[in-house]
Amino acid sequence: MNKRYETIRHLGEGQFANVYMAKDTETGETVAIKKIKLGSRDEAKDGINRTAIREIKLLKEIQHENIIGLRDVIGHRTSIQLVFDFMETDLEHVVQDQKIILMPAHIKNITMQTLLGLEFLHAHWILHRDLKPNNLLMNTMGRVKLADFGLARFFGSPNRNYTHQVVTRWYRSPELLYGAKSYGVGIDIWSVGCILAELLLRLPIFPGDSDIDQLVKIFNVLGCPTTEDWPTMTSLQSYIAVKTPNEEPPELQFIFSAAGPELIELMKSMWTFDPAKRCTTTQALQMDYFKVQPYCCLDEELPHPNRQPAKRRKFEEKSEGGPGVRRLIFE
Amino acid sequence: MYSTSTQKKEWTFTAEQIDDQRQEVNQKFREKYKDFVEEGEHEIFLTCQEELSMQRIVEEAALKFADKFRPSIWPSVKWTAYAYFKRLFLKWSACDNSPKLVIMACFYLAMKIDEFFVTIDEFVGNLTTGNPSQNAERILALEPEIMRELDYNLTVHCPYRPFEGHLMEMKTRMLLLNFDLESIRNDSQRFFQLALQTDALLMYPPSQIALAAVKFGLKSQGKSNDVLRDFLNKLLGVEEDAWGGGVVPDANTHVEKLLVKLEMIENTVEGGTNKLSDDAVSNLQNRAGDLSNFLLILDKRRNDKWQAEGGIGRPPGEKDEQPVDSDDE
Repeated sequence: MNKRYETIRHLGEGQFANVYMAKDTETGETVAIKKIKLGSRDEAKDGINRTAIREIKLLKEIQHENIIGLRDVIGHRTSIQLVFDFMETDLEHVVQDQKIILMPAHIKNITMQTLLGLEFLHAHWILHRDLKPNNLLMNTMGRVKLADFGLARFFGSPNRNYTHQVVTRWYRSPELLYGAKSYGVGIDIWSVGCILAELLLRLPIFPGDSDIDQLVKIFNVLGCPTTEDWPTMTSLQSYIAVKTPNEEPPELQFIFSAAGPELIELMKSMWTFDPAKRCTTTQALQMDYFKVQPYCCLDEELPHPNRQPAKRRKFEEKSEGGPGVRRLIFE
Repeated sequence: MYSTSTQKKEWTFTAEQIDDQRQEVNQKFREKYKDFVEEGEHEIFLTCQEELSMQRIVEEAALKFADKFRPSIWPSVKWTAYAYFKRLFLKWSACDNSPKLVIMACFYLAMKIDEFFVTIDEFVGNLTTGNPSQNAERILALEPEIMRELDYNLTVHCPYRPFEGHLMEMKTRMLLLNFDLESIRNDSQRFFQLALQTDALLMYPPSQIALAAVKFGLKSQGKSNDVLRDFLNKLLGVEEDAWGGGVVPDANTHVEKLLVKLEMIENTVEGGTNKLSDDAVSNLQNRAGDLSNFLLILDKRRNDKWQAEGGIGRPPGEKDEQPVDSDDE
């Protein structure tokens, strides 16, 4: 029996896998084990699940602080289990947790960690193709890591077609929505822009409920692209002209009232319609946003659903006295 | 990225290392049975060279399989499958695992890895021997074993894209060529086909194999080696300044070293494909047949001994299979 890993508890169930928290008895560390479901006989018919194979083949090749580490693979005749770094939470939980206050320095830190992981990925010719808050994991040390490589793949073969049915809709770029069959790093950058906006708004910025509605939601905020902005747009397979009610889009500054001009500038370049003109991770990391105050906070200062950051905790302790005293008076 | 890849770190060897590894595998297989082999029977075992020849025969046949496969596959699938096959037989003996079956399973896995989508039914539909459901069952049973033996290092860097890159680079940098560079393509492709049947995949970086293919193509078209030297000079940034003004001091030696390396690759590829005569092939097939009959006898002897000793523990020769955790624990 392979007893290197002792299961602690079931963490969650995804479409293709069950995830467990476990203890690595060799190192004493906590790990996450993803057990790929075999499902029905029919699903297992073609052998080992392709999603699992993608994760293994890509993650075995790369090690980076901001990318989830694949520590081990346990393969059997009938099942396969992937052993990952254990991460306590993800950005979806952080965004949705009402108790958490995200300060500008927190958001800058998270954005930078995300971009650093993505820069490394792109430098290794890998597209993630499914970036969303849920796939950006965070541990109690405040380290953010890109995870879930089930849709990821190598890119750069000019003669191959890629499916545009990737990326969860709300984070999908206009070229994918228009059915582009060859695309590049721009699709991941677009998603990072959406995640950044979500950190600021605490709500998804473009929550489309169909592909068309997705385009409308985007154009409502950014205006409609012209062929001048994006010359190759009209030649995309599913291109359609979409009209939005507001001719003049609102200024981004108006939507993100708390954001400084450098942050607005960064979002604009991540949301450039023409993927050829959209910024790369390296360009994004060199933009003024990361050079002006407030600078990134330390990783360990990032708020966490189960733990308030160091500074806030002090504040809360103080304020706890308030209601407490009041309660005394009322009683 | 090749420079940080598992291919470079874990699966690139010298000719000596490959040789040692094969000797060890051959030896290990003999040792499994050493207590049951009697005087004069040692000859029945295949030699290391014979094991390798068995692999080469299968490699040659599989090239035809790959070309006939429908829907037609892209070349990187083929290269990936061969890389797996060669890596596996650095750990497995051809007497223990049917090379023919293994290469089919390698192709099936390579298609998944390279995002070439076929179902197992479509895949076995391309096989001309055996019955489909049995073939499917065997291939799927091998899949996890292969992945484990490869230590889950599944990304293989192929020379086809670097080749296109080199060719494009040559076209843009060498404007004064008085011939069409596309004319080397067929010969270069032939070079890759030859390379697949050698150890080159286990020894050299793909971009250098691609350069060797360019060299081979130029040579086959009767072009002087100076064309290649000229290109490498430009590629590695040696200026054509006769006075050596801006030349990086080491660049010239780099070009010379690279030329030597390409020569080595060419020798590995051209020297590695000694086609066996029909006689040699049928002789080897007989030897392999004799061995598999002999292994049945050995297995019986081993089993008899185990029975005679009281049949304690697991029957000999059974593979360790780790029990599986169920998902609903």
